[in-house]
Amino acid sequence: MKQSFLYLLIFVVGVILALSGIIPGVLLNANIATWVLYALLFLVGIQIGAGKNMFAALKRFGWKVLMIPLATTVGTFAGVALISVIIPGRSLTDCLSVGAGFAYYSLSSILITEFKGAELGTVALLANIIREFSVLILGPWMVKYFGKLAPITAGGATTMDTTLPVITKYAGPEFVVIALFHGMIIDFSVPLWVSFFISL
Amino acid sequence: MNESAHLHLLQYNFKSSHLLLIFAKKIMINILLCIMAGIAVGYLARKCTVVKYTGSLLSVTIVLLLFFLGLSVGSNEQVVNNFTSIGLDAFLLTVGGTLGSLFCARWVYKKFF
Repeated sequence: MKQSFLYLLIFVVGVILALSGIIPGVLLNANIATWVLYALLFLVGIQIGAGKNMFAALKRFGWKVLMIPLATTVGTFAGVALISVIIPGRSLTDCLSVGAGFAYYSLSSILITEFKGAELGTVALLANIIREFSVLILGPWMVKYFGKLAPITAGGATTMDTTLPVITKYAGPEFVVIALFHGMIIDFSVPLWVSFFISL
Repeated sequence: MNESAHLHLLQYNFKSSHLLLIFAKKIMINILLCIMAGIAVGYLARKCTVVKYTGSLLSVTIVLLLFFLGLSVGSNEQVVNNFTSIGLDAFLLTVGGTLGSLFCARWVYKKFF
């Protein structure tokens, strides 16, 4: 939670600096961001490649654990697609690329900004931060009304780090392995889905 | 608009969308290549202690990129002037996506767990 605040703060500092106009134009138009983005993706890959216990949950619970990331993906895309109908001026693919962040706000907003512009990138940043915070704040309510898997599907890609404590506390420690597995699968799928939707 | 100008416009539209498609494919390939290379390196180096620092390095790149994102947002008048509607859209998309996944979670929980 602290980390999310730090990230948000840095984003706000950037906004304020740009608004005050003390940032030289060179920094704004440079390709640095693209190269840092590629470095980021490379590092995300290293974490996936070096990660262990990825299939521990699969061994313990069998194939049905795969239903959980599937539920997250299908449910999110269906919900976002419905919303895209009532939001004027946003295409289905734009909305889906925002939804495909699955609360992984840093990666999704950066990717979208780079290829679709800062406007949609900001939507992605806010939408995915709100999603993470909703689990942190509404976790117990989600468990009460939607069952013990609810904070896991709602947490999306964050169930292996920031929202794990909430899941452990309200769904129970037996769901930790599932949450880790789910987080890794969704984490991995975020750049794939986002780049798929922005290329449509 | 006369006929030839219309035809010209059509051709132009075709070309630009075609170029966009090539561009989009290149983006996806670049993204995939970076992640795949990372996975390969991560897998090969999974026993090295250096890998432990990936998390911290990742935070540094995220901080840098979010700062850049802030800069591009702050210098983009379209975003600054429409911040309320952007926030509302973001909120609605979150509600839709999260509720959708919650309903699916309930179904999977009842059916399989």
